[in-house]
Amino acid sequence: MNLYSDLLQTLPLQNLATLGFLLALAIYAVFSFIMYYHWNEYSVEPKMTSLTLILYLISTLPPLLIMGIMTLII
Amino acid sequence: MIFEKIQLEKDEKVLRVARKHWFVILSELMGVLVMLLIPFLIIIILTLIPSLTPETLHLSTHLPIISYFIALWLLMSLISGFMIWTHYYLDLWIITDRRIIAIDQVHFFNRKVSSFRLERLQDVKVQISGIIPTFLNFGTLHAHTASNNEENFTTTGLPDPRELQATIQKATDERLLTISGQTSHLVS
Repeated sequence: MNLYSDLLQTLPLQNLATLGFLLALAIYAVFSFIMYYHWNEYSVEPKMTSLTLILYLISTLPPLLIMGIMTLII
Repeated sequence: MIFEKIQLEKDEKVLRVARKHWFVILSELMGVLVMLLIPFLIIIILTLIPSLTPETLHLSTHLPIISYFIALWLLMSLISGFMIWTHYYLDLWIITDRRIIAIDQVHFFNRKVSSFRLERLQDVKVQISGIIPTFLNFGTLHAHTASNNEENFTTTGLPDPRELQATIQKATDERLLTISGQTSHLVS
């Protein structure tokens, strides 16, 4: 319990949340690039490529946005 | 796109593009769906049975931090789902009238593209084992080449493997006839 409270004192929750968000953002950016590259290079159907990439953005951007907003609120 | 990379020969026709059976992707994506539902199930359980909620945790006061972690969990689950979909969709067999091209997307940074000519094909074996593969008609296809030095190709979860086997064998026979015709023409 002491360790937990000590950790929270040295690294406040706000900073931890910001750090986590930036890390998630970096992972997301790298993954998105890899994903875009693979679908553009190796797909056989341009229609399916567009559909997948659009669906990817539509579904993954809201949680990322929520994380960002919550980082500001925490 | 992949066909530009493969560079099909002049007059080479693509007979069939095969990727794994829908059941394979569905079973893999079911795991992701369960992952996506886990945080909501936990919230529902904690709301229905408040005695299970830790004393220090209050759903209403800790809403931003709970939402933060749920969003992170959903993001990671969705990323893993798209990773599975990418591996499924980019993993394929291209059967042309001259060769078989097997593309195996092992990981994002591990992609195996193998190609062998139909005239070098020695044997095509099909294996359907299990209740679900039998009912849904999917299985493993093994393609063996004449050379011992060349790699044999095996892909699991291919839909209608017997039809695929028939397509390959028909294409091989036609290819061999074409080659023997060209050879006899050259000799005469």
